[in-house]
Amino acid sequence: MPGERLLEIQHLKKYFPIKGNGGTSYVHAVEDVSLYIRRGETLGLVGESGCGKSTLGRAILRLHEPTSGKIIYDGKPFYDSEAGIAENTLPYRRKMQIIFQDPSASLDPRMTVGEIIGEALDIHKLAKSRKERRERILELLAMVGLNDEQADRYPHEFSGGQQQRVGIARALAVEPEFIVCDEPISALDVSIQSQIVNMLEDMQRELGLTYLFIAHDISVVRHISNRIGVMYMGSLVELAESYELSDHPLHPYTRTLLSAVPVPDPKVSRSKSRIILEGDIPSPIDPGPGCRFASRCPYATDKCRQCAPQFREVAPEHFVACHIYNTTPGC
Amino acid sequence: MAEVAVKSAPKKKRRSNGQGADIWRRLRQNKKAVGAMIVLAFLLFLVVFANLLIPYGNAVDINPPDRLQWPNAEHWFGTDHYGRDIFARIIYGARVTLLIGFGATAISALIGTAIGTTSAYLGGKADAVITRILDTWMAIPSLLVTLALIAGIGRGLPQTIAALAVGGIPGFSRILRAAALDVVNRDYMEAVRALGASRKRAVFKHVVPNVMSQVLIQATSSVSGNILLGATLSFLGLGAQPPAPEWGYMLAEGIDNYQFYSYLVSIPGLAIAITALAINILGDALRDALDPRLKK
Amino acid sequence: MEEKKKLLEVKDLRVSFFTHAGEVKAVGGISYELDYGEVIGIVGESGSGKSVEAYSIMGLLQDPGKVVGGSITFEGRDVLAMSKKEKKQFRGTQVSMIFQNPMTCLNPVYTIGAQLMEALRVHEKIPKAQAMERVKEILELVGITNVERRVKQYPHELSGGMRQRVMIAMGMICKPKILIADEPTTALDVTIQAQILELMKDIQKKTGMAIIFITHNLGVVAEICDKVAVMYAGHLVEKGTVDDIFYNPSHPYTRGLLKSMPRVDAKKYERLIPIEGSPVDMLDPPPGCPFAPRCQSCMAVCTMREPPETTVGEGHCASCWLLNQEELTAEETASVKREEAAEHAG
Repeated sequence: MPGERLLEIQHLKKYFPIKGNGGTSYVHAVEDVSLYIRRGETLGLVGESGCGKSTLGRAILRLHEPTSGKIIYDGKPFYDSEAGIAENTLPYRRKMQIIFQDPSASLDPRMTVGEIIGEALDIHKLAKSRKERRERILELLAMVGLNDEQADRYPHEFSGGQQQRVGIARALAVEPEFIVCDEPISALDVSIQSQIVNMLEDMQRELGLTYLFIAHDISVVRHISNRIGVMYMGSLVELAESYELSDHPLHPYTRTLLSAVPVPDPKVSRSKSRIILEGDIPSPIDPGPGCRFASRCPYATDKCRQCAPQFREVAPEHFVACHIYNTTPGC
Repeated sequence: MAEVAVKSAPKKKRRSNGQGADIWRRLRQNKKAVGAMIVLAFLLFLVVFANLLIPYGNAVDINPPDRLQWPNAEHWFGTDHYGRDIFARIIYGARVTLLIGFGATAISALIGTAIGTTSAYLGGKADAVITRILDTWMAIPSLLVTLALIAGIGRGLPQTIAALAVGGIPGFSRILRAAALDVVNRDYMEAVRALGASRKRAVFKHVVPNVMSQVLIQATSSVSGNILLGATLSFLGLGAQPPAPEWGYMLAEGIDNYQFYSYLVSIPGLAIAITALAINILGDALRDALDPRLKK
Repeated sequence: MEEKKKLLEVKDLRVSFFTHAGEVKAVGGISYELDYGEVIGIVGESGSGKSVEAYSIMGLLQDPGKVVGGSITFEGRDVLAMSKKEKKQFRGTQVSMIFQNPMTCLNPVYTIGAQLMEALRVHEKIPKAQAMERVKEILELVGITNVERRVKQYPHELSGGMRQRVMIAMGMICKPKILIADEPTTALDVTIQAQILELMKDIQKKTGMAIIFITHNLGVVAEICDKVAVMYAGHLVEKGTVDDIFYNPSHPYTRGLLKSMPRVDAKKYERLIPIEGSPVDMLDPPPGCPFAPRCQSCMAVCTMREPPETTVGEGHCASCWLLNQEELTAEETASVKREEAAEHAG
């Protein structure tokens, strides 16, 4: 499976300015993240709300322009804060797409479903005639399990699951290679979630898609992803193959996250001991030096509070940013 | 799995034709709104078919023998001190009044929407500058702005409409900017950007249609405001010029004799009040009907 | 021996919403019992009627919702027949409720301490100083440290997890016998959710109050509940102990739900088995069993007649025709036989 790198990001940062009375401070939403995604794989990204996973997804697509760093897509620089950025984004927009969390908010309420999908075709001039356009819309709807008659309905006439199917059809309309799935199932009913997960898997197989799958539910991410990255307060703290990560979690935060997930099995949950973290996620505005997790970490030492750990490979294909696994002295 | 989903997709019996039908249904359920719509429809009917009902001459020709008659079978609303039929003047006056109300609103809505949406979509410095200008503009009382403008461009119907329109622009811009800001931050706008849509497409295909409901709501209150302000201007002798019948001007003329002939004031006054009230009620009902939070 | 009064008994409760488009039967006849100190989980998806049912117990149903049938009995008293004044007393002192989003339930302009004091003094006439002591006690109980400082803080100064703790404290301050928790952890992150669940288990053990835990998350149910009631489209499709529901699910919907979720402790990748189809359109529900259009084992009778509640084990019931063929008419039995034969042939 290890294929070529379709997308690579290096030292990507995204800060949001907050203007206050005493000058401008910055929310460090994405802090120096580097990773790559291979063609045809699914990279999962987990973390709690506010950890920057969605911002990272949007920064990769340059829906939020990054603050600094590099985005290399298919060998070409899409964004490079030093060498200059790609001015014409249109060709990239055809290659990279996004699916949103809230299916009803992601569809323009004043357009029919057919118009919503048709717009994607119009922007990239993918249909030569009206007839071809209509046929393509119906074909896309059929791909996501909707019928012809539904093309002329408005989004509010659909259930949440069906709206999400429309969102997927819109993303697929431009025949992309890479899709950012930003919490695509967390707003859906439990019985619908698995339909969408299976559909995403089928599409990936049939169309050779590459996914960045962002979610807060580690059980779903583990199910769908080849590799998983764990984010905490804007930083990537651990990255490994999915089952390696869940079987041998290294970072204390990853361990906590895994143990916190309730298992639908009463006997297991009765016998399970879990790590309960004290405190909450600290403010991401102008964080100090040191490891971001130090304030809640049961193993934190002075070193953790003073300098931030490097993100390094401690086992083959297993990366972690934690001083515990760094035997060399100093930072 | 695609086939399974197609089969089990619910067959809806209730077909609604988009949001228009929904809004119309909610409006119809509101009794006050229905009343207001009937009043306005009746008014519109009078305005359109005035010529068939009563000759224009009755409204403007001076006819001293019939002067100052109380309402009677021949002159339903009585006559004024020139002997002109007040019923005819009210009907023809409605033309002028509604033209002022709707005309001025249409102009300020068009310009205000353009300014507000653009400002919201551009954001950053452009938005900050536009917002400051609008804030300053709004800090000056609109009657003062209108009076100053009329002093500059002169009296008359087109001038009145233009002056009122200018006064209404900042109000529209501000509300539309807020509405557009809300739309700009929606996920579907992000989706459109991810598809690579141009700014023009984003604004005209997505932002504008989604703020139209706000335009409509603001427009109703603006129409009634403009009718009242137009009447005020005419009352001050700065609006529509005689002998053209205009409700505010009729009010001004009636003042001289109102101690003995109260109908001279009460009839045009009522006409203004009822029209403004009907439009305001319709505006409120529209806001309720369009508010997605109240959707059931 | 005198029969002990049940804490809460819900019998054939029916709640409808009367909307412009017609009557929506949000709760279509559900029955369950809750004993002292028990934790019952009410599981269902959005629109299953699980919250509506809880609101009716609290007497908090709002227009156009109405209880149209059935009864709710609390310690032998008819809850639905209570006067407004009685109901007000009943809420808070006997039953109280916590919600998904604490921020909408806390008043932003009062301090935490003031709000808790008010909640207490509405029901108990005690002096301020004494009330403050109780407030501090309860805050400590819900695991809030630094209580002296916290009582002087405003809701926006607290984190999401802290606010939910304050909400729980508010729900418990009058020592109710039942706490209704409506998706109390849904808006929280998993690590905070784990904290709150631990806290609720702990408090439940200490105070012995009963909890009605409304959620869509089966993992949370396995974690905290003794009994479970599974709802689908306003109907209670299955109820039993947690072990019944998780190890011996009898309704196809319950089975489907359990199979459709990926588990964090799965040993290897297995494709998910979804429940196909869409949720029920509550304005236009299907005839017969509401789950029939999505059910893999749907029979002809399922689309015609609602299945009765059938006992599968002690305290374990499910409403499904597969479990109850005695009540079928001769004709229906014949059709079931035919279908079975066709299935074997196919």
